[in-house]
Amino acid sequence: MSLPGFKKPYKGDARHWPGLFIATGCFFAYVYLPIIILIILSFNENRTVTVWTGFSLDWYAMAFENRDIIRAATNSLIIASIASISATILATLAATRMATDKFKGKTAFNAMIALPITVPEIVPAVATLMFFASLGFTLGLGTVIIGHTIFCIPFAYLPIRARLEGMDPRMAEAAADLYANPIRAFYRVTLPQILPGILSGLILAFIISLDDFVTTFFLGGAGSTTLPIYIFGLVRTGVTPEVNAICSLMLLLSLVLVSLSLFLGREQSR
Amino acid sequence: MIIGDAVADPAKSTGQPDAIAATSLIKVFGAGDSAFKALDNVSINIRQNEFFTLLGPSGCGKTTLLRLIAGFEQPTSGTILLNGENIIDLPPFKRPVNTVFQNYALFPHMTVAQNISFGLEMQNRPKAEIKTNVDEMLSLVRMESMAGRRITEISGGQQQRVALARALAPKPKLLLLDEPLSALDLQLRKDMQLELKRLQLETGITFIFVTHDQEEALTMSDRIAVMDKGQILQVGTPRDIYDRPQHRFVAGFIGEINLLQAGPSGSAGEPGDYAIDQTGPIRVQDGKVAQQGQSVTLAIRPECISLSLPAEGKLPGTISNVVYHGTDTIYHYTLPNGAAMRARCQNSTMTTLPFVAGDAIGWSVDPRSVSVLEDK
Repeated sequence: MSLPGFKKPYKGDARHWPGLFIATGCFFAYVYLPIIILIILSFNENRTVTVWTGFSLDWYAMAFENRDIIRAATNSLIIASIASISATILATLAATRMATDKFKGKTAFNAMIALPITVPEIVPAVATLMFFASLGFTLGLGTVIIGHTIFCIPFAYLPIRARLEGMDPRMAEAAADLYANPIRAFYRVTLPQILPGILSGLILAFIISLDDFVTTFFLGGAGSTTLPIYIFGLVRTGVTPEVNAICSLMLLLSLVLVSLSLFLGREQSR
Repeated sequence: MIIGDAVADPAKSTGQPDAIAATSLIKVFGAGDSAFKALDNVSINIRQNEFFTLLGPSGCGKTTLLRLIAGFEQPTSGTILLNGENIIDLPPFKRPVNTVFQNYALFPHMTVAQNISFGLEMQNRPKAEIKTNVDEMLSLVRMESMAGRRITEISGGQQQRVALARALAPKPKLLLLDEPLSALDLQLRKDMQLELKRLQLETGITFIFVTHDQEEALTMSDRIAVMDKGQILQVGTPRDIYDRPQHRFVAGFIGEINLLQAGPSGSAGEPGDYAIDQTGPIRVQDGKVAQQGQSVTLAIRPECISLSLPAEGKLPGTISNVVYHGTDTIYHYTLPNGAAMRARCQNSTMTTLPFVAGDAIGWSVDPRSVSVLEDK
């Protein structure tokens, strides 16, 4: 069957739609071109960001020499590490329980664990700020870590839950049948099988925490400046190639972690 | 409802308790309107060293019964004794019972040998003992050369053997097998049937085998329990079950069978004399005290019927169809009252019957080959 206006026979297949190639090209350019330009400009010799005069690694060297940047990066890594690990442990406990137990309202619970992903981040950020204020907490690294742990839980939970759901429910029964008490069954049978899910949950949570601005901004205080907050401060006084260099480095770290996560995902499905 | 024979029980005479003595088991899943009674007052005794089969269609409760014995489910009410000890309150990991799962449930992150040694490790057996035991199991299931392979690297039949070895390694008092052969192709299934029987004889462990395949049940079992709708209908040896079905469902589920309505015989005959409407008298000798004057359903296997030309003392019938099957021929015929019957006759040159559709014939059956069914 062919419709007028179509050069090729119409098969209802998106590949035959006219203009597909251009639209796809535009989409990818829109998403990735700014990032590519940012990376290129981070190697620009000139102080004025938009004028290319020659290749240089000076801005990277400057970034590494700037003690404020190093301090902010250290804060970011401390917060992301503690928050992602805590969130992953909590998510693993929750997912294991949710996968094995049957109880009333289980579906509602499941939805509630994943819900924070869809809630605008500003809402829990403000709510947590008010909560901490009413308890009289001093805002700082500690409050940021708690805040990050909370919003990291659903990101860690989903891949672990998916992995558990892909596991044969008979597996736990087989372990129990072969004299493994619930704790040994978890360590010897369940954990090795969901480990790829746990690691990819951990990495996802780490990246999300590393990248966070809103929660950090609200819950942070003296001494808890993270890279995104620091960059925000820099940008207000004008974008320098130094900012481009820091952003490129963060992008590189994220790419490495995401690749690792995908690699683990591939490994588990084999 | 307790079914089983109290007479000539060798296990009882030696004073050994039954491997499994389950009493009045009820299992209800769900609650309210959606409640489903998977087991409806089931009692059963399984003897030591027996190859015992639970046979029935899917949803009959056989797997539920197995899962109650393994401890994966708790009964709503009732008790289970294992070698005389109540195991109801023991979690599965404390029951000396191992299971071969339908899909094997082998641990994919472990090798063949690691799978087999898992149960022994969990019992904290000494390392040297585990090693000897695993080697012994590998040779028992003929998988010595595969010890280091990953589970994903071996075939379905080999996985089946590993699952057996893994369950047998801790030397359980009881081995539960949940349709373990259903995933295998026909030839492999036949081989594994013999293999399972050999393993049971060599290890001396009591096997409880769940299947919906009547042929599998008849070939392998010492005794069979036929289940339907959460109840055990009949327990007996394969011969008992096949030759003496007591229940309409049992008769229909296992093999081909003719079911005939018969009323009390007109003359004051002996117990066991019945009459088929418009056809004639039939004598039954099935060991049961038949109640006089009651209408009953009789069950007759097609191979127990002998056909001949119409004659005095034979019951009448008319051939409706003749189907040739190679080793034997099935003669479909109808009785004067309209009931359809089948007779299976072996094909040997000397006895080939010359009947074609439309012929009038005479038929008879040995009174010992007729069973009176419980009409429920």
